Amino acid sequence: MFDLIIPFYNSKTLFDTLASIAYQTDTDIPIYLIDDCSDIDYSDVLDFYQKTLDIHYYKLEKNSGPAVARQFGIDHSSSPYVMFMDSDDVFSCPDAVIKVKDYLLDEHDMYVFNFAEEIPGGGVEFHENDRIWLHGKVYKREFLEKHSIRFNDTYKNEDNFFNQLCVLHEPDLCYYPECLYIYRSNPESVTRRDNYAYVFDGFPFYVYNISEAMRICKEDHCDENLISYLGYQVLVTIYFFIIGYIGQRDISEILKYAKSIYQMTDFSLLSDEYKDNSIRNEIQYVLDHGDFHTLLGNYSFDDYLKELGE
Amino acid sequence: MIDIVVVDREGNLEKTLFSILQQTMREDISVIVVSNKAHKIIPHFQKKLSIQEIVMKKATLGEMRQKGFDSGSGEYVLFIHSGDVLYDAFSIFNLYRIREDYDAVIGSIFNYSDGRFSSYLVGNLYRRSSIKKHSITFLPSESLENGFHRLLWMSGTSFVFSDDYIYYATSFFSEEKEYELVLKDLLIVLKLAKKRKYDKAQIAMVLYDLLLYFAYWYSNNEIETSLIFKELLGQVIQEYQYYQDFLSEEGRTWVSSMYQNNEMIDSIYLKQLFHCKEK
Repeated sequence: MFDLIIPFYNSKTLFDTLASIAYQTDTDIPIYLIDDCSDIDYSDVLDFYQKTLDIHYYKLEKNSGPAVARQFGIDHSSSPYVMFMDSDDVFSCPDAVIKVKDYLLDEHDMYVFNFAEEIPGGGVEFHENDRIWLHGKVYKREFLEKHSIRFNDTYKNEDNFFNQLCVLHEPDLCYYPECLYIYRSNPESVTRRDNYAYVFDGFPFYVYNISEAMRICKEDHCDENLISYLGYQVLVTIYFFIIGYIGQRDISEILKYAKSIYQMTDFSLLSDEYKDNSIRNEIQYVLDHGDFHTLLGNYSFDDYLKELGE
Repeated sequence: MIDIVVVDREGNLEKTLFSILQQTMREDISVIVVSNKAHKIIPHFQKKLSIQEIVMKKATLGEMRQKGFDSGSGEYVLFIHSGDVLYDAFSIFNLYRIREDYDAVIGSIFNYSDGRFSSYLVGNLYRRSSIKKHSITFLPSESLENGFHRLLWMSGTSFVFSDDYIYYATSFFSEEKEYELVLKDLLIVLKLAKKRKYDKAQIAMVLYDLLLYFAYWYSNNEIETSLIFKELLGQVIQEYQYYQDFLSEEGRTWVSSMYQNNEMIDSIYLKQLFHCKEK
């Protein structure tokens, strides 16, 4: 009913991820392990699980990043639905697979389950109704194929690109409040290692991927309102991000893609209330994360929009 | 540190270890597998979890549990049967976060006890120092796990219940013969409790709980009982009739709150139990 696609590169936690599938009450799902040209030999792990799990192992000829590996997984699998799992994450309970299968009988285009993020000390933070991460989401293959939705070849924020493409194509989307997936705390993971650097280095990818998603959706004649609402929201996020780095880091690349987003955003379609809320929400986010310095710059939001429009 | 003692009853040990590996608190867990044979899979898990394996070829379940308990040094201990799994990745965290100063945190068993049964050993978090302080040990005879838990309760330990499902049982006893063992164990630990001069009100609570437990069982199962079972139940009821005067109203309410439809059970099925004994 659904394929589980697990891309990985030199993962030391693949055993744990597969353990979370092997202890399911229902283990009858095809698992596509897409090895992104790792240096590690996984034959031990594969041998261990081969008897209990339906594993399809592929090794890419060159390291290409998680997006390419995931798309490879989609292209080489065939079930009506696909779900992704990172090689350091796990299902939250032994009934996760059977629950997903039950929900899939409703035949929605896209399913969004809650997921939990591990925090130090064994606790978790729950993410509800998320539209950015791939965690806890299931996609109907027919929907992806109908709209030619595919991962691009970027290394970072590729998940956001993919999800925005999906959402802007207006799937029959269903949110389920159940938490079935755990984003585990792995200090070795790409997104965790030197997190601060990852955030800054990853930000141009974020802006680029959003602008790409908007461009493709414009070409596909998706709803202009949805595209503009996304564009404005992202412009606000970019603004609060860059004011913390003005004069300290090179933000020219970010501004280049931000200009592209600006051009694709039809401001006349946006309500004042939405614009106001976007800024309020972002300020709240900044405050919640303690980045107060970003609120103290002399660079106003109006100046920023003016500059993008020039 | 939390010790998880896995008593291998020829269940699927792999599944049990997989579920421990999922725990968000896995770095604070030390696993002790007690089995009657060596397992080839253990080395695979030793790369991921702190695991010690103890092989006891001819030991009883009671001896295996005791060995498992004695072989650890963690502040808390949890018992699990091989083949069973922890309900989800938060199971240990959900017990640990409400531990406060209690001697034990009692977890619900997903597919068995929808209510708050206090009868089972598995899926509970025990404070090691409390068990040692009261010299609570497992009965060495081949038996169920209830004796340990009930003796601990009679000793006056403090419990708190977790609202979360903790344990997912794949195999539970349902044979009447095993219920006979529950009663036999109870009568053995009751002797110990008397000898140790445990508080009578506390003993009364445990006896009342056991009778309610059987009343609950009766209410859900139309099963013919054996003569031995009736005889043993008769002995327990006799003991309860002596201790019931010591049962406080608060204790009665607390115990009955653990059972669904407690008022109904209390008024109808408990009477039926007594009636059964009189017959």
